Amino acid sequence: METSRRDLMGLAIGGLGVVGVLGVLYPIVKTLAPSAASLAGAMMEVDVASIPEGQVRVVSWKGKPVFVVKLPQGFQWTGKAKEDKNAKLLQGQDAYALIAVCTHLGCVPLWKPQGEAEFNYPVFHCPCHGGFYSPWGDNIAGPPPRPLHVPPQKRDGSKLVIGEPGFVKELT
Amino acid sequence: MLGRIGRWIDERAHLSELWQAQMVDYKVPKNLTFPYAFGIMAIVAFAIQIISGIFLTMYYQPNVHTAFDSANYTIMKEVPFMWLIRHVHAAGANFFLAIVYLHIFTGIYYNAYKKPRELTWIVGWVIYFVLLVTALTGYLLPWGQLSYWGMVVTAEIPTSIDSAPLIGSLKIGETISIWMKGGYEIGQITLGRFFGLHIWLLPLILLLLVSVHLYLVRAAGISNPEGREIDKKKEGVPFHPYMTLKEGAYVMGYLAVFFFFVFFYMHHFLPPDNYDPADPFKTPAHIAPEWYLLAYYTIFRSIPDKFLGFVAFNLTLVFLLILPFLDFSPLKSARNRPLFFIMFIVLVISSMALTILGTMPPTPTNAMLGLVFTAGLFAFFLSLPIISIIEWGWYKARGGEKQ
Repeated sequence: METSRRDLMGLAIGGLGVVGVLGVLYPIVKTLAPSAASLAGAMMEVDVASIPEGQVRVVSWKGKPVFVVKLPQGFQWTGKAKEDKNAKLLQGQDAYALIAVCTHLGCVPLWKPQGEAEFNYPVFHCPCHGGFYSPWGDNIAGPPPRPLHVPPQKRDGSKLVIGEPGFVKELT
Repeated sequence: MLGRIGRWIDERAHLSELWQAQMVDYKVPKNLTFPYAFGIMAIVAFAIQIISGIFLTMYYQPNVHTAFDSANYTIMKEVPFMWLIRHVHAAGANFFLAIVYLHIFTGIYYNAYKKPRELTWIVGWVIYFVLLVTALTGYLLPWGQLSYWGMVVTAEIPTSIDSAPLIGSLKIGETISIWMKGGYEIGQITLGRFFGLHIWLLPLILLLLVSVHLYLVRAAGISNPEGREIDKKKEGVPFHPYMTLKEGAYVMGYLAVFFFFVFFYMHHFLPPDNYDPADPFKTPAHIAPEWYLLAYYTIFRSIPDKFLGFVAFNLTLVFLLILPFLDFSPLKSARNRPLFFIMFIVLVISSMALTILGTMPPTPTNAMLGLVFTAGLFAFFLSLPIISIIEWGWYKARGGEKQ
């Protein structure tokens, strides 16, 4: 069967039509992609050197508040937590990030480096219903059902990169 | 005078010819039962949603700072009778879904998905799917605690794909989740997007699909509870006045029940938890999806593996879609199919049980019951090919004559 000019015209017009439809649909569908502002919050770099030892800085990652904890050299913690999940995960790190949302009802806990109530060593204390966490975010006492969540993070010299898999692979 | 105006218009628009052709000369089976009215009730429910929705858009403000107050103060307390319009819209959504479920089960019972009505069924399935998305997007708009956290959970569902073997590492699920929300969190972009989808795009798609669905119903003719095609000339009755008046009376009954709920029993449709403004840092203690999603939710959470649960509840939807091809028996209507009737009862009991289990806490016992009824639901769909083969045997043994 020989292709005629008419067939070629039909193919050309049909092809142009398909290209046109794709050209219209692509930008329309792409409007649903995540916004630049949101994507910018997917990775957070914190200069650990600028945080005083034994202090905590609050930053934002994926719209959630995140604690960046800086432990002093040779830090010894005398408390006892209900769990040791986070402590194992963050072993040997002098700086790390924890999602700053209490696992009970979602308040933001406070960092108490001098201790609080009957706990006379550094703890996180959630003022809403009296939840207590170790410096690694393991729940000690009160109503929280589980340790604080830990975001994926890696260490890059004096920088802590939150949102990139490193010594923590994925969100716990 | 009025008659003359009427005649003037009719000469130009030919309306009486249309009426005669489509309502009087159109013949339907005379033995249609009550469940055949669920279709027209669904259309009425759809009209109620569109009308009430139009008025709600006049006062609702799709902004995270004002959405809750516009829904709960401006609409409920400040603008005359808008409380009524919101009640109608909220109750109407639930009634719409309930009627659609009855309509679907009616279609399954009378085998209204069989040749030549497969396309009607498939378009109906798409309507159901779009309707679920419409209900979900609308539920976020009041920006209450349940609205917000319900959507947090819903947007997490696709991430189940990421716990799959092999394809899990591609993070397809997280991508879908982010595309749903427009970012990593549910915020202004999500709300604005859902508002646009809910008031424009999805209702327009629904209108188009419902039109196509109705055209296909007319094109194939209404199915028959006896399961045979009628000789329209001999056995049919005119659609008007027989069906119009009968269905008109049923619709009046439906509206009476509907407005009883609108005026006297709204607390289930506007739950108290949703009168707390959305708080991204406080998860409500008891969060479950709306009742029309509970069966899928139970299937999802009863199966111990997250990815398998995700597959199972999607499989339920897929089974519904391919129902006309799973059931290839020559017999129609559960009235003539004892085996099918038994499995249909299993389907109804399983669906209801899964829905009721969805309201209960996720204990091991409930998870086990959930698994049992999930098996019941799947048993219905998987038994259809077997029943079809058996019935072909009967059909041939009877010499393959028409029923």
